Amino acid sequence: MRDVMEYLSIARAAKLIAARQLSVVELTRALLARIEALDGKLNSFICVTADGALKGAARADTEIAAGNYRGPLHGIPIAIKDVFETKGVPTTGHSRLMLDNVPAKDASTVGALANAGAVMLGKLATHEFALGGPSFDLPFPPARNPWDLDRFTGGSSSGSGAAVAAGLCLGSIGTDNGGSIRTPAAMCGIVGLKPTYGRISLAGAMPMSYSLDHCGPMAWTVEDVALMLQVLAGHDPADPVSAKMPVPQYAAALSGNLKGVRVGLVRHFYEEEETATAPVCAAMEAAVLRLSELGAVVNEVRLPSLHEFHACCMIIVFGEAFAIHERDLQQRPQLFGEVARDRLTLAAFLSCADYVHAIRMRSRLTAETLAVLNGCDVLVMPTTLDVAPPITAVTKFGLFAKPSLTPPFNVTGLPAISICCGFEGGLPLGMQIAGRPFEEDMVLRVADAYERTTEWRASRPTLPIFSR
Amino acid sequence: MEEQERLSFTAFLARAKCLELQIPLEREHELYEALIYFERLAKRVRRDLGNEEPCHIFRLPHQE
Repeated sequence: MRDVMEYLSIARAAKLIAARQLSVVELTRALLARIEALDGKLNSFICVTADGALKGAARADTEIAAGNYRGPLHGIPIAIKDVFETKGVPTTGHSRLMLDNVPAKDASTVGALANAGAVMLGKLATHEFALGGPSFDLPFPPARNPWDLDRFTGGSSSGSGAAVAAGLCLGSIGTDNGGSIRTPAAMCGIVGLKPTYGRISLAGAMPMSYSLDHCGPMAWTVEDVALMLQVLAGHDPADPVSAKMPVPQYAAALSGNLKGVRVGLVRHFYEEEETATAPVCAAMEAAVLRLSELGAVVNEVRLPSLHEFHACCMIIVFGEAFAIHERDLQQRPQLFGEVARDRLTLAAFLSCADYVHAIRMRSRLTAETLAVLNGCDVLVMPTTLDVAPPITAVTKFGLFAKPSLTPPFNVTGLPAISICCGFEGGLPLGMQIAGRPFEEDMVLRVADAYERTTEWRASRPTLPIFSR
Repeated sequence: MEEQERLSFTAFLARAKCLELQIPLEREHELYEALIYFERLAKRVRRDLGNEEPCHIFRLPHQE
């Protein structure tokens, strides 16, 4: 029974909890035991809030027994990337500089999840301030990929990817300024959604890049991500860039029907401008075929150059990140890990003109991408060019040198999801699906239709505890 | 290093000092050489746009 509980999806657990066939306390205890057994190797958690989780679980059981069921997240154990403020619980950004930071209130997203009745199991590993990792000189070790402990999780929502894939929590929230939700989702074989800029409040999320940061849900299935988005989406007056846009019923969009949906395949990103590995290309061909079989109309489209998106994103991200961390770099640089410190130091040499040109370029790239989206409903491409590399092979400055496939949707602010589209050598592959502004429902619809007709959700990482 | 047009190594260190940045001695050359990455990124965004292209980088409320 214990293993069954750990591998529950949010949707399945919610049904059992609502029907009072599953105790929230029992589920929470099982997950805490699993964290205790496995996380010494995975390093996905920075901090486990066991006492608070058990109290929250007991409260949820009491409320539900009294007929006060709040909805599908009521009693669902989740964990939070350690860049979101959590009242009374340290929020470190995985940095020595923030070890003593104990917020007085929750980030808006954390509060929304708590109001929905979710049970917080703890805080999850990230890269230092979501920009410096994987690193081995920080106060906490880097998270490991549960599919192969010697592999990178992707980042920066590294703990979120690892913990969800390993069944240590049923869902998580991450942040994404260039791929930090979607890359770990792909490399850890889970689902991660970066919504439209402004769709989910950034209030109380530690900033890395003011204009490119996004918050979003990460979980095992598309349906689970839709259930989390329902709770997280909406206007928040505490966030000046939060959008006043209506929030649709996301689960209602998961029809399984793609008849007539127009899909734009962005092949030039990964076969012309950059070269994805043969297994990634083969997985994309198979995925596109499946979308066609489901009724979608697939055509190749051309977006602006991937290298332009890359340059634009890097200059804006690191220009803004330097502005955030400049004082600490000057006054207490020794407290940074080497990776974050050196990347930020380089950013100090960007000029104001570089930043302005990047912002101007961003406007053009966004307009050209939206023009392509006039002719199709979603864009598809791989999330990454290859499977997760060895964790020791990730270099300090590699992200500046080689474009990745995720930044175009930070630059444009468009919604984009990563879902599992296969495996190579036992490691997951990801497909990225992007859509028009505030059309997360269409992105989820396509992702869900694909997911439910493939077998990828049947595979979980094999971890030592299961070999007993 | 041919592309390293902005700064000589000496100017790099002087600029770092002006910016009040402390660069560990053993990483000075590594960081200087890594400037090439931002040099390339900056070149790409600079060559893309002509000054004639209108582009608002800030919108006043009445423009939204």
